[in-house]
Amino acid sequence: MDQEKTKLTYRIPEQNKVCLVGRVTKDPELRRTGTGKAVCSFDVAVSRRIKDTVTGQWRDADPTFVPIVVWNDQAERCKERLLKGFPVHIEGRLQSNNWKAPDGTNRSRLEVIASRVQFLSVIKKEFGEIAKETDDTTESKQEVVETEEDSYEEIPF
Amino acid sequence: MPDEKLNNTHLSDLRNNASIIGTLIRGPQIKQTKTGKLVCSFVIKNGTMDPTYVPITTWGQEAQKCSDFKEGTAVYVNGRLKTNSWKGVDGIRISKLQIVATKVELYSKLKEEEIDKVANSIKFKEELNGPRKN
Repeated sequence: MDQEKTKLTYRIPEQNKVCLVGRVTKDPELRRTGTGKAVCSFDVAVSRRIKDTVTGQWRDADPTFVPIVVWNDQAERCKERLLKGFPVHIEGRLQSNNWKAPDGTNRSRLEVIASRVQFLSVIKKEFGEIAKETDDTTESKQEVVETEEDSYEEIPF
Repeated sequence: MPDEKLNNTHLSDLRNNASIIGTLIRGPQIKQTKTGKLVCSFVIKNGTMDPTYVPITTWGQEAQKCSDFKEGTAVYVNGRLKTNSWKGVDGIRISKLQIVATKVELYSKLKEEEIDKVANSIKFKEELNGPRKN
């Protein structure tokens, strides 16, 4: 009988997954790295409604501002399509970005590196109808989805 | 759908959700708020090449669960992203992203013996080495 012992070790999976829906806080910036790769960055304001424990009324909780980084073709599309206030759906992962500030100190901040950006934008057609178009920047597949009107709260700035 | 309805359903995960597996880089810090609520915070490291450090905050029962975790413990964290902002020593406003965890689970590897048991079972060896010759 085979006496060989196969030694296996297990690794902990490095899961890192983020899913967000929010509004772009400023017009996105598109830059190029030294090697010519396009990178687009913008902040997304994610808000939620909470019930005030004192008054019992629903109100807006302080929004969370999440820095998003998009690369390559997706970055260019984001720059073309997104403006301040536009709603987006982001899928990606959290990444620490470390850099040296001008004064020499080490700085670090958490960003979401987006693997998928969906534009949840509203396009008004000529006849006054409001058609919703969801654009996906993953593969080149484009879907036009008719959804019922949903109302996003006004961003407080 | 108004956010109020979304809040208590799994659909609220669509709006703001993060799920990370990482290891504690320090022992957890447990505090109690003025109103008596328990809050536990720690930082986890995700990934070995180019690691990401994510501060986690938990409340109530989850905080109690986390209070006896040790440095190096592997955990699965699920929660929402939140910006924590405060005034630094020099008066400048600092804001940092963190996860407010609604769920923290210990991620335990299979014990060595269990691994060996599986590896040495005949069926498994056939899969590794091909079927036995009769």
